[in-house]
Amino acid sequence: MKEVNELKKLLLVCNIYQKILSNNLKKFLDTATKKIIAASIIICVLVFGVIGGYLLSNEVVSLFLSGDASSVYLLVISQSLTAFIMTVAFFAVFSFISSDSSTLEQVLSWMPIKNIYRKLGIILPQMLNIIMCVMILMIILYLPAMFVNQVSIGVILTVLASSFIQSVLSLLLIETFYHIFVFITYHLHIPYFLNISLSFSIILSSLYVFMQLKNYSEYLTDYQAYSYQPIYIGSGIYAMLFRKQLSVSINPLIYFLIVAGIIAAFLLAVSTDRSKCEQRPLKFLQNWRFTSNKAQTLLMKELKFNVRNEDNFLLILLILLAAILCRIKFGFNTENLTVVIVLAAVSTLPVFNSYSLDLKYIRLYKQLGVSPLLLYVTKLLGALIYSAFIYIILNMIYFSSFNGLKYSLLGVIFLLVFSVSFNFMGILIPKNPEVPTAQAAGIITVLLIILPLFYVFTRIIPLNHAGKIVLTACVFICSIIGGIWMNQKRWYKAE
Amino acid sequence: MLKIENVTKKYSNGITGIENFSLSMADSEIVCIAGPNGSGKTTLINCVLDVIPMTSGSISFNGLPCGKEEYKQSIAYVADETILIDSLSGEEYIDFISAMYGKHDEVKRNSLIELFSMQGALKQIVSTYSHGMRKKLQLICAFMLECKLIILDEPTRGLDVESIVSLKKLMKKYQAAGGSILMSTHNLSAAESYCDRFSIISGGALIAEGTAEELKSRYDADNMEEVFMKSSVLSERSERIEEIIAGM
Repeated sequence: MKEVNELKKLLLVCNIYQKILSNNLKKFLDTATKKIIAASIIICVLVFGVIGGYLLSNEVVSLFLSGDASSVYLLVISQSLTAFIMTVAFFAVFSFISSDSSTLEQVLSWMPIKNIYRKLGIILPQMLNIIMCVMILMIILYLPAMFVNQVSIGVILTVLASSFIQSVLSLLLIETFYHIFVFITYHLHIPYFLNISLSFSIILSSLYVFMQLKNYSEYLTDYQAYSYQPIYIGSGIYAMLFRKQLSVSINPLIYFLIVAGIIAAFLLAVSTDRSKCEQRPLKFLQNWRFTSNKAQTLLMKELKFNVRNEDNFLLILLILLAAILCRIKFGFNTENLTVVIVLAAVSTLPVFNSYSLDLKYIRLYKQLGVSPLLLYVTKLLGALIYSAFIYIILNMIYFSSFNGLKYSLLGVIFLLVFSVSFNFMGILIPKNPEVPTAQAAGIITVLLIILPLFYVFTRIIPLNHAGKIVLTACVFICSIIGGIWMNQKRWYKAE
Repeated sequence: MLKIENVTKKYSNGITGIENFSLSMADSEIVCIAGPNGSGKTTLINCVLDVIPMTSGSISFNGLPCGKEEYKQSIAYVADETILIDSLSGEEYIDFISAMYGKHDEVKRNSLIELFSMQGALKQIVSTYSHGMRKKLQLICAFMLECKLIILDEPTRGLDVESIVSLKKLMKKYQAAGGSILMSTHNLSAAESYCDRFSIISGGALIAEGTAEELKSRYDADNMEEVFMKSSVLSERSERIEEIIAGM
């Protein structure tokens, strides 16, 4: 009876978590215009997704399907791998932009609910959302091609079921590693231990994907030797069901023990995590004293804000870890201009957040007699200095010889242009803490409009070297004008 | 009966929140914990609520050890920081708390809503509430649950006069029905009228304990604020405050 009550409470927490998400979404989509735009985006994504998915997967699906059990099994393996990769990607995206669940956790901390149920109440709906996204994407990508190839409903359901199992088990594994990292970093007294653990689990999962992709063809050709690898563990169910036809050497006992082990490890890892109660903020630049000069003080404040912001910290950690991995794995270096441009773009990513960090303080700035232009300039400069710092570190990681130095210096121009444009985007679509996905969605929408326009424009008027410089200068100037204009608008709106 | 025995909490950054703190609370008793900012009041409350693990010592309520579900079921809490789930409406929040404690007394719930004049605001999302409305919502939830112990952290902060008067009456009624209240407040003059006992904490340690009359006589003070200054802030600091103000 007691356990039933606990399970009821667990469901209650799951329900309230989903209610929070749905209320936030309702609040965000509060006007008819916003609802129409959102619906249009969803319809466009679905239509283009189905067409694109068909074009992408039709060849693969028709290649795999010759009608016998082994060809379907190969498709199942291939889809399990895709599901694993998608799960890792969605876990990373959701972790980074997911709504802050800390208040709910705080409220629940003194309530009569067991620690493990409290944690599960928040983790399970998060997992459900990730799995739903993976499954929607799998359906969009593969279902049209399977229908066209006249695959039977039974096979379609089997393929989707293994993708589902794959996604669930992958998430359980990633969550297990995350909670183990939290346990370790917490006891090592590391600041921002939650974000550090998150970065480690994402990087570790990505690294595993990279390592296993090398063996992709091996899994398909030697499919009869089942290797119990997490990357395609979802396919095990199909392998067991058709063990005789496929002659796959899979031991059901070992398989179920592994699955049970993953679930047990997840539950154990979640139950040990009792560490979210203490905050350990960073105190970087504590010795920097503010001066009587207003501009200088605002600039220093901006730098302190940026270096101590937890989202930025997580982003930089991910960027650095990914950069090191790419350097080791692909051998990229600064002697390639494209690499340098990418480094400049990546270094300026925190600029997106810069404006939203200060939105709630606009009234305070007004009270302190700060002008909107001064705020704009100091915020931009602060974000630029911060980005330059990341850019220098990334260039040091990718340094191979002094030949690349000229590209690194050239990259500073890109850094400048990216900073100004991203800053404008951040003011145009500031991050909303209640609907964190909105900023990402908004920026993607803007890019989806701008990039094809830019492509068409450059096709119609092929640009020479001077033309490219003029175009870059135009983007730079327009972003500054746009940024100042939008900043003024938001300034006077914040009454 | 709440029993706090030799509780010590050391944070991972080396700071000691409270040290060897002991306190016993009888049923139907209202005890006020007073102390300067950073003295360890919230740390103590968090330990009692099992929000943070204590380093050593023990806490129990009516024989139930701290952390047990039944223990948590017996305690309601009103936080100082008006921590609420902002995205829910007031009504949804009340429903959620009721369901978590498994208690649904519709009559009591409606009476409390009316007492704090919150009928019109319940459909609104909590993020649109003023500080006072958020506090009222927390108080409705705490008193609705009929727990045996309520912990109130600065319960009157942000409340209007009518709500403060209502809260005091509500506390007395709750006490008469056998409930205990452990509260933390800086408003010692007001607390004197409804608290049975005071525990003064400073630097994480218990400095003085007793009824208002006992403490006033012990420290030769006219009121509880004077007791507080003499006991927790220490007389040297008290003199220094006078010097600073005189020099301004």
